[in-house]
Amino acid sequence: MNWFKAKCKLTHDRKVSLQYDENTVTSNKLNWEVAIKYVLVKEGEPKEIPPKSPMTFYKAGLPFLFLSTSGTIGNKIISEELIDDDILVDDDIIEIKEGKPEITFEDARDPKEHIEVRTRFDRITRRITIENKLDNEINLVLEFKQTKDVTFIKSDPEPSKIEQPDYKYDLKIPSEEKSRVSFEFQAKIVSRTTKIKPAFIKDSKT
Amino acid sequence: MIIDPKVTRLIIFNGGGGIVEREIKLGLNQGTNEFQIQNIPASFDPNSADIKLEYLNSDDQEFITLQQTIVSLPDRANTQQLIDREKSAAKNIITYSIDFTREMREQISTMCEASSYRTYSDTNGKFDFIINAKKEGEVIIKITYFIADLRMKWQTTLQVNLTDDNEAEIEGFIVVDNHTGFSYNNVDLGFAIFELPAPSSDQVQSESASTLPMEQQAVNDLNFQKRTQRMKNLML
Repeated sequence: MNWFKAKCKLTHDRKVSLQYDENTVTSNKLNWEVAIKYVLVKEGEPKEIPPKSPMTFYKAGLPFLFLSTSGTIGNKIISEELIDDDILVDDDIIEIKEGKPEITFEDARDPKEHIEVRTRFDRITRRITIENKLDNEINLVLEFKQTKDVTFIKSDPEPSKIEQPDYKYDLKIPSEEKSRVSFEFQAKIVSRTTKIKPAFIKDSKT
Repeated sequence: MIIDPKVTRLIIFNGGGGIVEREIKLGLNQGTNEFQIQNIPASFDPNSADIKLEYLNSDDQEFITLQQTIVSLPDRANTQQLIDREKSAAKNIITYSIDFTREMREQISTMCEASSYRTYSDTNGKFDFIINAKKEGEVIIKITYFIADLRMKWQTTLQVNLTDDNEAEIEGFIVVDNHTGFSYNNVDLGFAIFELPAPSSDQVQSESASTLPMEQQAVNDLNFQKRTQRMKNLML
């Protein structure tokens, strides 16, 4: 049965979220996926639409997108999150400046051994390239989330908004063009090696 | 006395099941009046069964009172055995029918199809009540109960016609499914966003306790913590 019919405004929420750990931050190349959500702001009184309701988009009378709802907030009908395959995000390493390791020791299970902990703070530069393969300009939010191992130092361009630990960039990318963001991070790299304590190393000459 | 109150309102949940409201005007004799309600599905929740008396004459309140309600469900194992026998008989009819001409064929397939869809929820539950009347009179009985049958539900489909890059026209439709053995005709239909509670954690735990290792059970316990769920009625 017919429930409602209304005009609505359509917006696209595109977002790419970056987060590194001590291993991924030094990777030569990473690929990130752009998440897209369709938000319909309906005119008239709000309607409660259950989550996971099927939704079909028609253009010129033909269906071109099948998805489902994730929920409603007032007059906003929000679609589920999809991966936008027409936006490519490449993440390449530019430079690693290794810091001086600081050596400390921890107790091992065997009293004759100890764990050598080498901690160094590396400065890592990475560049994110976002390519828009669509035939229209898009708005995209790039979000970097700082972690305990990888902290933000600076970026080019500067973030549009900082809400620790999130750094957000509002990007506008014209059709078939690329946009770049360079990051400089500080990464805490820790390595642990179990070794025999020097006092227990037998002299080979004796 | 056997009565069949009319279903006046049916609120269907999107997650399956619903609330049924039924109503009937009854004449009462002086003394104890026993009634048995017909067409109560076995999927009804006896704990939610509720009866309200609406007095036609306000003075009757002192003389007419609800004494007792008796609710019960048929035994699941026995009912299932009967259903299985019916299904097996239907299968045999199709397999061994000699005369399977056009008219017979239609009758047989209708009968067999009905039995193949039959489940425990399509059998009848028991909902009786007793009214004490100190004098003769009339009263309207309003009965409400939940039905936990996932074969009755509704869902929304949305069609979005793009008129521009940023503008569109949205059309919402409600699709109602009723694959239960009970029909509801000429009722005031309501829709709500609600999912019937899943089996309690104790029940599921006892079933799985013997097979799962202790660590896994501890993780499962965390997942079984209940979440709030508030029913939302749709305003059509």
